[in-house]
Amino acid sequence: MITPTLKAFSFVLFLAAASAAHATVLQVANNGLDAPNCGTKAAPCRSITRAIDLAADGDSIVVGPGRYGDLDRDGTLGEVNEEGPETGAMILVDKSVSITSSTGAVGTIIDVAGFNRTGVRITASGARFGKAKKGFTVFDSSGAGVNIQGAASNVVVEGNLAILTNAGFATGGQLVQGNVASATTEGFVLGSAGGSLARGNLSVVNSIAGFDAGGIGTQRMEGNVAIGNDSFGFLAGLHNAVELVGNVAVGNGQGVFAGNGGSVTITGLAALANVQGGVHNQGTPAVSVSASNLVGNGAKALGGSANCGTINENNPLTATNVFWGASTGPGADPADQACDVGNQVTTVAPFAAKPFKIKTKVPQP
Amino acid sequence: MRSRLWLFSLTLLALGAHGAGAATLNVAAGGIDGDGCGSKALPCRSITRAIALAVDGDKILVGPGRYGDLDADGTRGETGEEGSASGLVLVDKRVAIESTQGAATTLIDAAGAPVNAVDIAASGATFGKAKKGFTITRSQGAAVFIDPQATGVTIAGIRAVRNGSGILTKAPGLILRDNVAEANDGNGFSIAGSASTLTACRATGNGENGFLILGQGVVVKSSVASANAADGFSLGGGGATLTNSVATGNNVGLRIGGAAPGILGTNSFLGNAQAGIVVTTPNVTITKTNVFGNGSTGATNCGILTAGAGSVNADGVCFGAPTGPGDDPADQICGTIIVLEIVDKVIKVTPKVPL
Repeated sequence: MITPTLKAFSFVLFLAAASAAHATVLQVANNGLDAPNCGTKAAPCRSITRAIDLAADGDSIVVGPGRYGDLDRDGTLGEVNEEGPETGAMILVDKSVSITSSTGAVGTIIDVAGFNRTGVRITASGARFGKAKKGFTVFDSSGAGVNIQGAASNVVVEGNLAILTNAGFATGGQLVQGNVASATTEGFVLGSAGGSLARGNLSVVNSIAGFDAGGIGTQRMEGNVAIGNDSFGFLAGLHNAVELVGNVAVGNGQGVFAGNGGSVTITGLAALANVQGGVHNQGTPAVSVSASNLVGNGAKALGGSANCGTINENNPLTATNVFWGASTGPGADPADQACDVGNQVTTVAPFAAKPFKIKTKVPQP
Repeated sequence: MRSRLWLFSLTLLALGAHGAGAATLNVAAGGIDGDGCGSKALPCRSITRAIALAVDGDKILVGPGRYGDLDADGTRGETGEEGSASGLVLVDKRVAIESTQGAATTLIDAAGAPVNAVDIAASGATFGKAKKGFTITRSQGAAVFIDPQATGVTIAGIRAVRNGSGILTKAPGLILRDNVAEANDGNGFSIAGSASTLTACRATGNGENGFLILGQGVVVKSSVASANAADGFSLGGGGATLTNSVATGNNVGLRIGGAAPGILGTNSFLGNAQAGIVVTTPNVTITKTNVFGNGSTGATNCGILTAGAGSVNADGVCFGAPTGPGDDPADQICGTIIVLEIVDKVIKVTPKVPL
């Protein structure tokens, strides 16, 4: 006899099984094999590509420590147990899946083996690549480390390290947070469609820029740190609108550079000891800086002027409520000055007599 | 006002000099290298100047910013710049140097100088601390070099990126913890002195080895070597201990040569291109270790490979499959290897290293 309680219990079991069938977890490991039905704990897949092939929208893929990619480094993808082949990319995320590592970025390597292709390309809305303490290292590519296509919405890329790639992380309107880009060409490129948000990332010693925001719409950067990048900490090149909130630029060629575009709005910036200047407006109609610290910048002269907290080649540049390194406002060392090129006049009144507390939380040893 | 601050600084220095209490000297990107700099109100601009004003036992606190060859003109030691005869920052006193906000916002930039960025010549000196360290870059030499005579030095919280090499030591008895060496041309960590301890260090994407251990009796624990062009860990000094560590995506995960090592246990060697472990030393014992996913470039699938007089006792190794060494998904054994015990499940190895 089946009691009502048991009936209810069976029904719950049935529901649980049904939902499990709809949200599978597929396993990938360095001791896996790309068998036709791989992905269980007992028989994991060897490649992330195979797990994506076998996954349905909503599934999760958990990747064990080790190395994935062009395993024999011969430039041909898609050989047994390798990632790919996909056109121009090594791993194509074309389903709404969550891909995370089991032990974190530092022991989980996606190796592009030096070839000119994107490491990971995400085209599916709702996809996730990495998570705090569950990310990946993407390594050795003359293409981008991770590239998110503009058509993909609600994508999150988190907790990853891109090293020795061209662009580290390239977005088209998505969220990238808690990632590190080290020794790439440009750490983070916020491009094509607007609506990208880069939050809490560290971009360190890249050969051009820490962060490069361009494209249409509004790109936003929040709580990031750009340090030691050869040319620019934050670069707004050909852009529509760029918002910088609570970021830190230290020791870059220039802290923030505004090229040709609509507007750059900066609040809560700490631009410290950038070589040629803190904030440089070259050709953007509206650049404003407020509640920010511009200190110790401009050790190397740019266009004849040194010690520049700001450099203004194009009105209007307003730098109000800024701490310039001394309680007396902009001026000679230890303060920074507002450097105006030609007839430009930077608005600096009122200035702040004390530094602002600007706290970021990015990965650091 | 200024003279009173001067007096205050002098008092601090006098206290330090007389050992009545260690002084703290401050350095900041907005500071000026005045004769009596170092107070909170009048910080120095350069670490070099603070060291010049310090005495043994003092502490130097460095604010966020960039330090080095500030105008990047190749001439070091100009006003506000770092610079000494032997390099960029010479630590020739027993001082503790820390940043106030950590490596993410504190940069020592050698701007391409053909010298070591930081040269530590004083025994007992401390450079950096976890979350209170430095990013060090663009030195043609080492990011941090420790002279042979400088014993008992501590290095922590460093991120060394794009230098000639990362942390290069010649002295014995060093403590290295929570350091990262990334994308340096040479070795990430090169440890030539004996009896040093490395904990929670990471070497990624360096042009040579991740960790080159040539000193005798060096202890490496909870560390990660990833994506280095040569070996992840290369142990050559004899007596070296390697535990709770991971090597992945290197050419070789672990290379053992020269005199016999100490304990090698609770490690993972995964996905290294040429082989997981290469041994040229006789009678090496490896315990509680994961070895799989290796040997993809030579089509040999070698987890453990011996050469010359090398031989290995594999006592508790997970080769990736419950059946032990073999074809994929397992790794093979290649050479003189005695398998004493096979572990049929992946061993938990979880070093906690900084991203």
